Amino acid sequence: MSEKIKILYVDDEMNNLIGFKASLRFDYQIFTAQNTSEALQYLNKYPDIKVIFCDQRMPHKTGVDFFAEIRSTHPYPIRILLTAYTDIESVIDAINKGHVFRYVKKPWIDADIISAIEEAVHFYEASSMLALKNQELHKAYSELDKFAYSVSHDIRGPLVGIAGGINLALNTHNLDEVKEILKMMNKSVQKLDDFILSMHDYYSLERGELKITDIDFRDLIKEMEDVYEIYAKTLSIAFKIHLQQEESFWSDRVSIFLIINNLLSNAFKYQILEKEDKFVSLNIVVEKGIATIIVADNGSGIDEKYKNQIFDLFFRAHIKEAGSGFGLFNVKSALLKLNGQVEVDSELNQGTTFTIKIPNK
Amino acid sequence: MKLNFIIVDDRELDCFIAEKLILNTGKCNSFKAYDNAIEALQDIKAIEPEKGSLTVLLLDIMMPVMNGFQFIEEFENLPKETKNNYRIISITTSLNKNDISRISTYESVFGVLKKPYSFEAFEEMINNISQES
Repeated sequence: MSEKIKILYVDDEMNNLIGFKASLRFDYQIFTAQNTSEALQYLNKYPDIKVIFCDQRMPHKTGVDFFAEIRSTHPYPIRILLTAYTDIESVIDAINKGHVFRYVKKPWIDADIISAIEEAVHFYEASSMLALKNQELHKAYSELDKFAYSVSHDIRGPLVGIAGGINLALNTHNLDEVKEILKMMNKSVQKLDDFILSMHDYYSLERGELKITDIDFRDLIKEMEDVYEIYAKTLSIAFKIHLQQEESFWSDRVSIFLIINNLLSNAFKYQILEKEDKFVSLNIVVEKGIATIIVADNGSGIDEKYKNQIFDLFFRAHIKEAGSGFGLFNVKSALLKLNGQVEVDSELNQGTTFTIKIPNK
Repeated sequence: MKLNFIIVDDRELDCFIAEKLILNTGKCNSFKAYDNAIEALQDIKAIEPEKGSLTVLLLDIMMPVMNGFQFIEEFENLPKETKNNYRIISITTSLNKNDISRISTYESVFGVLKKPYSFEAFEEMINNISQES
């Protein structure tokens, strides 16, 4: 285990505190407090305290009252009461009201305390895991809602268009016109397929595991060149590539490929075709365990007012060549998994530069 | 009476289909397609329509940057003389009942067609417009 479990003990008798700490400090990180306000300070400073022991009989406040108070403000630490038999009525009451997880009778023996801690920690972990899972579920649900809404439109849109195309083609006698319709239907099919592929990327990123391997960026760049050469040629866009890698770099190849591919695809897509000196540049430098990837272009740029939203799912900032709405969201998810960062520098009609930094795994 | 037609739809195929259907009505005086609502709105503001002519505007709802709702909000602020020259038919793939009923509440929306729409439904709506004028 990497870190000792944090435990707080509140008791007005100094001797008890010293004895408790002395016998348990090797296995746990023990905080001791002589009164409840001191105890609160510890709770606020260390929100990851997992178990609180508290004496029942203290001069200003009873242990049960203290637990009842902190139950709402600090719900996660497990509350254990230390008490003598004479207080049994108030203990029963406290347990029934849910303020106390367990009680250990005074004077205590170490074995009782240790078994109480073990059970409490077990319970703590189970319930905090549950809370975490619950949060994740909520997030997943709201994403799913938005997802279903957007996807139904984005898939149905091209399909409905294709259906309309078929109808039209069936009623058209001129073969050349039919071919023209077919060509356009083909584009819609392509777009739909791209959309589904990005959706698959989205799914893999959300659910998939990382596979860390030694990455040779030369290989990766070769693949990119093969894909984008044709765009560069047909649209006369200069594709400039620079690579500097003298050390090995460990990361998830699929995620890195996805990041670079999405950025390049945008850089080639959002060009100003009338411009003379169109370019897309890919600059990769691996140095001191950090890969810096810069994708730049002198294309249409991003309007200042949309800059905060470009990484949102289904956000589209461009009128023409509207994307799937997945691309940059996927880039952000991939970076999150790789502990990477992204910076965007863009000016409308001047171009865009994405700077990505990814640490070695 | 002959009508002018404008279509605003970001999908090339849908514009193309609409164009063919419009030509098939035999009522088309002029036709123009926009792949985005911003340019369409600019033109509507800038171009003074011919006296006594009427323009049918087919408007897609889900479009990036400026969607159909946003377009209509802006359109409703135009001077009455300009608005009177247009009849907006909103075209939607939305399956969401809220979207559909919301779009029909706008004063300047003449009708709503759900994609895919049949030629007959389209023609009927166009006939209604040309008879009204």
